[in-house]
Amino acid sequence: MKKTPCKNTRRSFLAKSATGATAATILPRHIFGAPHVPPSEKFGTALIGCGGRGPGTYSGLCKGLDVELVGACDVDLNRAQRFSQARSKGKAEVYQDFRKLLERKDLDLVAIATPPHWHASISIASAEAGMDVLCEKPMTRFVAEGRAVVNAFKRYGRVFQIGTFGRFGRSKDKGSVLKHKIMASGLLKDCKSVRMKKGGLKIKQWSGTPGIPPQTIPEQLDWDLYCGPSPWKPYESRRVTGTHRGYWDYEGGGMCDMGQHHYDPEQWTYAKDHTSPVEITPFAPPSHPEVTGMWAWVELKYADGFKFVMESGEWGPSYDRQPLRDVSIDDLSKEDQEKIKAMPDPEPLLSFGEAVKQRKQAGGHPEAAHRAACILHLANLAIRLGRKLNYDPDKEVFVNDEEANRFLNPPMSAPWRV
Amino acid sequence: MNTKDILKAFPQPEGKILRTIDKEACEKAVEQIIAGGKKTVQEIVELIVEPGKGEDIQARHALHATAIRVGGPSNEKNRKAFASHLASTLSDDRPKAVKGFVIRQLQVCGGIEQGSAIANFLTDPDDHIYEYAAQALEAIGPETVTHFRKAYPKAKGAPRLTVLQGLGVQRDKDSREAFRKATKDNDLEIRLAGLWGLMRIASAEDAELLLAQSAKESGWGRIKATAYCLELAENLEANGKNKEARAIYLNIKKTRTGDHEEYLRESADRGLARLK
Repeated sequence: MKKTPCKNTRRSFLAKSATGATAATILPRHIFGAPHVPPSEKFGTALIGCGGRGPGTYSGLCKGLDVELVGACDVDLNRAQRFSQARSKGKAEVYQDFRKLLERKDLDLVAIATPPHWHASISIASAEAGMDVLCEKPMTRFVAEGRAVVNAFKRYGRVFQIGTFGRFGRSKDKGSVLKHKIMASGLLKDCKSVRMKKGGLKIKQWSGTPGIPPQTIPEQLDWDLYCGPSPWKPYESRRVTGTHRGYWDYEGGGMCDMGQHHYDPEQWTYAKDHTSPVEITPFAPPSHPEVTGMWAWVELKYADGFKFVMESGEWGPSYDRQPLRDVSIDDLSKEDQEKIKAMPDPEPLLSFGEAVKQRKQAGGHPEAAHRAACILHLANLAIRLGRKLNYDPDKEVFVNDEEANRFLNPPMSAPWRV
Repeated sequence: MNTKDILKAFPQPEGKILRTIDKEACEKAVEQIIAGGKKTVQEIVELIVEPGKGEDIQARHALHATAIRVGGPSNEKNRKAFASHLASTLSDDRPKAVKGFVIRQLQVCGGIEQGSAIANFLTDPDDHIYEYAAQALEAIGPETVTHFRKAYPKAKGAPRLTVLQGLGVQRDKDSREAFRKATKDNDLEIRLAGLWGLMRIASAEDAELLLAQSAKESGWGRIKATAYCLELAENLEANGKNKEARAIYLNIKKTRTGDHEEYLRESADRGLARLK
């Protein structure tokens, strides 16, 4: 583990500051014990993954809360130092290894904006260390990671919010609330609806570049720690700083980069937060082993008949298996329509800040975020495998396809494991 | 058709990415590779080079596409044949980085029959090939555990941790003693892998060991070791061993007394409430 020594650490400042007035403003939250948080409380915060989306994710973490940045962590030390300087005039301690950061006793909230192959492991470790988490999307790199995150946050009673917020708007939109109630009611049998997302998934923008020769690892970068749970590969610069999205080892192309933004609110609208598709049908050419690439469309069917369709609009034929059709109140009998009208509206979704203060579940909670990520992972696996897949959303395994199941929980590089 | 001509169906980058790809031609090429048998597979592997030592984008793409396409239901005959041809190239004289790529394709399509060929690399520290071997065997399934058991006493350095973790991945109850011994190692990650292994096999008789070791650890080690204690309690509960699970929760409540460990006491309380 590597750690950059910092002359004026928060902890040493605490030790030196004996006056009650000073100490009271920076005591960690758990000192106060009770779940209700006094309005004067200040939360110790940190950002892990300080490049790209990092600063924006950290701002999301702080919204509505009184915070003090105590740590900035990145495998690229220059980025961590820049963030500490920008947000705390260099007072926040700088780390290269998140394990050392999570040992801090004055840390309450963690923003995670690393590439996605680290999201699950760091989220779980943060919960194990007692922290609440706001994590960039996509939540995970593969399906089993998501279940492990759900279990960890349940085990430790911590708050988790995924870094996409479209569902909050949907939950206040009358039309979306009506669709949510229709689908949640279970009254709509043999649903004929087909919802399509055409374009916007940045297929070419986030395709990787194969065959680049290895390069010298920059001095400030801990490459082994960057690879972490993913298979180790020789360093080349397109595997980091944004273009990582085009490599299966770290993300799942534009599908995973943009998909959770689109499908998280759709999943809320159509009341699918606690399940996953059962049939996934792709149209795609054979994938490259390292880099993400082209595909035409993917159809994902749920057990009730409802379908999501993704069409890339950047390669291959258009989707033409079924006409598009939305859910409507007219799909129900008059009697059932009355039942929908009598249904209460869903509970308002809590923001991350509200959830932290109230010690309740945030709107983008782990199960919902996991299920939304599963839409993307299942679509990508169908693209990669080039065949129709049947999925059991309760057991979270493919049915009768042993080779496909190997992609749901690919082994990690030691010492990382979920 | 010769092998180099078959590979032409697969694209070369245009503007850095594989933007123009002919699905039909690629699928046909895969069929030709399968039909070409061992000779074609060996010829493709011959065309794969170490990263930075030449151009092999189409060969890698074709080999991977075939490894994927031979998988799935009702394709067992082709899968077994292709995996066997691939594994046969591991004994040839070629760079470890190339063998590592072949092993990664066996992670996709290999079976227990390829276990021995892959396991030869479990203790080899060069070019991370031990990691690729362990991950391929883990993906193939629990029947590969014997290879991890055989390799562990011989594994040194980085492969030792990887092989120990592999035993934990496979939930190998026959490795209980190895896990126990590992919890006393000088290396923190070996200790944690040992504790994790005991948690994975839901070893009720080792609950006290886990609790004692977690109390001795500090910092990151304490965070992870405590997590494994709580997960062990859940595993024991799932196996109907409520009494043993309760003892773990009570211990955590009693020993995690720091202000910053309140969330652990709360976690133990939730576990105890479930057991009522």
